[in-house]
Amino acid sequence: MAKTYDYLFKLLLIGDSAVGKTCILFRFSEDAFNSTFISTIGIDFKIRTIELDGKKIKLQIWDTAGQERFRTITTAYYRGAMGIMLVYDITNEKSFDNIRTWIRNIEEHASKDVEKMMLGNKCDLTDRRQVSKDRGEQLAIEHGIKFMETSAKASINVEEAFFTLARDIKSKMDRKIDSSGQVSGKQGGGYQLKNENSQKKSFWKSCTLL
Amino acid sequence: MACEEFPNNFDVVVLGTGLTETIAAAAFSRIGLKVLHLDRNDYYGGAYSNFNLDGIEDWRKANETRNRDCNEDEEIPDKVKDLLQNGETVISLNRDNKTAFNIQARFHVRERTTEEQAKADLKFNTFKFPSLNEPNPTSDISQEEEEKKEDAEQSESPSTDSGVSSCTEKLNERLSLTTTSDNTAEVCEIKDFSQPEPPKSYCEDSHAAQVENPPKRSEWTVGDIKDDWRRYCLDISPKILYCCGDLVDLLIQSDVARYCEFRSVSRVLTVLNNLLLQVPCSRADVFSSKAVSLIEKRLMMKFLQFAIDYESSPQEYQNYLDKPFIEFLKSKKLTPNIQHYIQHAIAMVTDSELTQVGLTKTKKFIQSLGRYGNTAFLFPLYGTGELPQAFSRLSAVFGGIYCLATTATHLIADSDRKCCGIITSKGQRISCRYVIAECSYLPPSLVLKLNKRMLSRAVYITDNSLLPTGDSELSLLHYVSPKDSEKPVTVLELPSSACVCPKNTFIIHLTTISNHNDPSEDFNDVRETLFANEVSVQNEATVKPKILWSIYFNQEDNSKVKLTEDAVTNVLVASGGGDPGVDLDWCVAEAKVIFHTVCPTEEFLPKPPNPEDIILVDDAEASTSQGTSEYQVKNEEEISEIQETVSTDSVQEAV
Repeated sequence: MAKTYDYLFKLLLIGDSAVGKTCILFRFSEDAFNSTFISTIGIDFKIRTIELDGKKIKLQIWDTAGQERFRTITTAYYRGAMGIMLVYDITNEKSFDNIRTWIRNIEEHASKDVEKMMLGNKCDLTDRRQVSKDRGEQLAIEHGIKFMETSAKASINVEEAFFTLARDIKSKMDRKIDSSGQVSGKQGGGYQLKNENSQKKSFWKSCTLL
Repeated sequence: MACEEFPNNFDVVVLGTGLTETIAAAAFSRIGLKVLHLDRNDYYGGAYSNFNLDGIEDWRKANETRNRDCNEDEEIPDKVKDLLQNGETVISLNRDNKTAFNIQARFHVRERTTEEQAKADLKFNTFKFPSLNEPNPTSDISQEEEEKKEDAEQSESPSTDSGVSSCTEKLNERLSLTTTSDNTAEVCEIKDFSQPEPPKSYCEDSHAAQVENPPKRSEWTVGDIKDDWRRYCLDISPKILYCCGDLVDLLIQSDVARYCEFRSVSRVLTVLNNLLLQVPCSRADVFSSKAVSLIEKRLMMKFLQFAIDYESSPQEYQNYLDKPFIEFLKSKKLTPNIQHYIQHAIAMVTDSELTQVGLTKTKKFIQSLGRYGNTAFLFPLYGTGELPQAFSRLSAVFGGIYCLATTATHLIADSDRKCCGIITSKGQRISCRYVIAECSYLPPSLVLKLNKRMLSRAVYITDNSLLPTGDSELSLLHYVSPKDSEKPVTVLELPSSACVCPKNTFIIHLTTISNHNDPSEDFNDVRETLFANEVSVQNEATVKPKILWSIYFNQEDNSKVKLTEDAVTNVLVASGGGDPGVDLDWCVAEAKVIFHTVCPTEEFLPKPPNPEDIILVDDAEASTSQGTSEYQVKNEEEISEIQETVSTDSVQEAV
């Protein structure tokens, strides 16, 4: 089967509940918005394939499944992630303060070279703003990561944010490939096996030689 | 955030996040029941947890101060009484538990000297943050170098050149690693045809992490090991999965397989005549094995062919049904070598176990061959502790609410002795129809533990494999001591490619039924046979692995439990792990029974809809469609169409 993409990136959304992670996900994957969204039920991950420098990049973006609500995100959630969007709500001071805690979590459980990016969401709600853009930028500088203010509702910067994160992951990967002088269309060392019944036919029954 | 209140009403409250409980919770959430899932620990898994090197030390300390059971006669606090309604009574639950005993952990290597420490500190602390909004080539390079712990000079002033060379090395290694795994089919994601989107490359970073190749050390220090504390995943109940077992089938059926990756156990070892050997278990192995003669090959093939379908020729074994398996094997005129392979490596039964047990286990082993990899078993990358977490995610995706470090202090029973709710450790009253509790949450008066025994476990970090081959092998060894053949030791050796330890180290798990007060004594024999002697290590002619760090502990066997007559109704008990077996298929059966007790007619963990097929209704559209459901699933025809297309594609790909 011809592959429909050149790269597959696993991305995570992380941050306090109600900062708009799922809305960002839906804005990006379906260009839709729903304000009556209560919690993250039934949403595992969403996929969107984008194009960068002529390469098709499939972004598989995982939602927290609501497990951030009582800080019970499993360590398994972080495994294999290549990029993480840290999200806070500019109208909620507490969600901004908690970014540090989330970064500590990432440092403990995610891969060391995971690309991170920070988003201050709900930037359309200017009259309810509690966290200034400056403070967001400061925190991002402190942790050496990129920062954007977004609005899933008004569709501000959501595309840009994911494209930026994807580009950073890709260029990191390209540098590794260039320096080795080899082109590797497929990255990753995982080998997959399928539950194929024909493959499963018994070794022993078919053995007639002995 | 953490003090947010729970809703007051649930269908099911689940206490404990061990494997049985998380499978059950996932099954309940999956059919739409409201589930609250609590664990008294601040980590998932209970007896199935895994920890990094720091975490396991915390676990050891916590177990020292833990109490075994609660005082059942303690007075009910007034604030609990205030939450009760007419006719209701409460039962105190265990807030604490102690299921691991006699824990001893220590390093077997020396501390760093002052100079060594100074040098190591320098390497560790020279990391600089890049400036913002640059495409920051320096950041990842210095990060990689930090990980590689190369010369302190390099990471102090990361020039692009040195960075490129380190990247090259990393990639080359990864490519070679990819090739290896392609050939040997070692890393497997469990998938089936109807899985439309096989997510690839999750393990990419873990492999990348493996390929930073620190120089092989001749001598280790405590600091060398501690520096990588984060990279260790130490299971307290290490388990493997039969490739054709119930758990693998459930992982595929429920799509939980998408949350984890596996590596196949690449070889089965045995100790025969004091020699450590690889057991030929696939057909190709039997053919190519030099350890067995041509006649033996024929005998072994013939026996295994019989065993895979033994039920259809009962005349072969019916006279031996009440006799030990070993006698049946002898009657088959197998050579001692072949008998040993079949009894100890394939069936893994003791001398006293009966023919029926031996045949069942042999059959299960052979059936599981050839599905994934070279042997009958899979091991979850990052450890067994990932499995309960994977099922908990499925539960959460379907609305299950999770809270750790929180438990129920009391069960509420109504006037008919029927459980109708709990009081949480935060003092909230929660009504529910059923409570599922791991046995250590219930007071002793409610639970009968049917297996009154302890296990002894040891976990070693070693500098080498038990039987090095140059490849990254994941090995299973059923070690039978010549001194006590009824208490075999299960040995599971995990390489760094199982993502449980840094490169050039191995994790070796040992499990046996406890015989001594001191768990380390249960492993004296196996330690002397398989590992380097710490004192006379210099004179050792053969290369045996050195133990760098060890932990020993006893674990209560809580794998068979039931409720006493005194128990209130609508409470179901789940076992608490601690069985000596190698696999977890019995947890699936247990969870299924729990699920069907509550929901007799519902399907157990049916395949969830593909996330791609869940459509969010936009605000604008939602208002026209009553706005009741926020998402809907594409109609069934469409889904099956998609699945068909995918399966055809996969066939082509496989061909």
